[in-house]
Amino acid sequence: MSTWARRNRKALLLLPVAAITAVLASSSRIEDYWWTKGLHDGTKADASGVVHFSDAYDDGYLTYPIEASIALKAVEPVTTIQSHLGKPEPVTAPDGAMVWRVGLRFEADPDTALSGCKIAIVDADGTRYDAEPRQFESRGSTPIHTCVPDETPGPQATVGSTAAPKVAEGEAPRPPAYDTVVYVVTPVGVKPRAVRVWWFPPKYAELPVEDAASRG
Amino acid sequence: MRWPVPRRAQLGTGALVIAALSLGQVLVEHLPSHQRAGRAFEREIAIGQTVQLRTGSLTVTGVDGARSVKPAQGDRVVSPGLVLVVRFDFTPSVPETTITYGELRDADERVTTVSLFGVRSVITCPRPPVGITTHCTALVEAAPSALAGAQLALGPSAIDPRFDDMAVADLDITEREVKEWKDRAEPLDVPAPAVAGMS
Repeated sequence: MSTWARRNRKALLLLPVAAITAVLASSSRIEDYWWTKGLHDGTKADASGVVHFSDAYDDGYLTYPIEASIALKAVEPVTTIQSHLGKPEPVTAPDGAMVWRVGLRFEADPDTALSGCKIAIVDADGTRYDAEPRQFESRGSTPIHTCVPDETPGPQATVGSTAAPKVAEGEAPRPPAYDTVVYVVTPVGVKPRAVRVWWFPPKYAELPVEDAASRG
Repeated sequence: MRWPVPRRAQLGTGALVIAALSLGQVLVEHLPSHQRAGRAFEREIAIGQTVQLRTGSLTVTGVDGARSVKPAQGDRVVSPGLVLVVRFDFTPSVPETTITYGELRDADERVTTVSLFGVRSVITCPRPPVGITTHCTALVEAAPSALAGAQLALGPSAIDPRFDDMAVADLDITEREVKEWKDRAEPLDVPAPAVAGMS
């Protein structure tokens, strides 16, 4: 080792650390433009297929937990949806598309606010197909909420208020366990690999689609 | 007076500082300017060609124009110039996206912005499921004199068109077509944009 290198070896050893620190110090945009804008922090299902999901709403003024155990009941293609009277009504999907019925089972404290989640089917390539209203047409009965029962949605936050979420006046409390249904449109030929449930990115629950659950 | 004589190590340090400053200067000169670095990624296409953008594939399917257009949804637009009607198809490859922003770049290098939020110049492109095609239209009010040779850039973000792909379509408009459109007596009907197979 030369005299110069020996004399400066401490600084030379610290140089990579300084370089890495400099890069990390200028990486705030990764948080702002990437990490919080997408689904990057998944919670996998346990051996019984249940995801014990935990997240929180926090806008700096109001904070409340989002905690639920979520299981996938079924993922199946549909061509009709039952009306309120029990009559099967045909489904019209866009050209080259099909409609899937996703059934989910939730177990959660009735005092936990769970409204406002989003649900998607993910295929083997990782392409995400979000459940969105008005992507197909049917006179059948489609739910308003995706992660809570329409009749008993439980506590809900008031937009613009810092008050804790509460159950609307005259509404019954949400049961501790319940099923929900949501419809997802994908191109024909898509094989669902998983169903994702999330409230606020980057956290999401990933429920694998077993062969038994999918009749696609 | 005796001038201080630098030692070899001091000379070396000075040389390293000058080398670092020179390298910085070279980098500044060769890296794109802020204006260029912050621009959209532009993909040039012709009418009928399909281009793959980060958010999906886009094909400009037709161009028409008139002094007066009657959209199936919305009010009739009458212009002292021309209203350009550009039809295009978009098939998203990522969720929650569609085409919401455009720029008509005419032969006089004027830029007319057109977006989802526009009133007389407006893009209508219903958001389809991933992998499904939606039929869209862009209505752009423009000066007829510079339409021959105009291009239309189309992208996904009306809030900030930079930092993403934009398709730049050569509209292939001729002087003869501009004259025909100006002379058109009846309002031009514009079908309602819709996801393919949906009303």
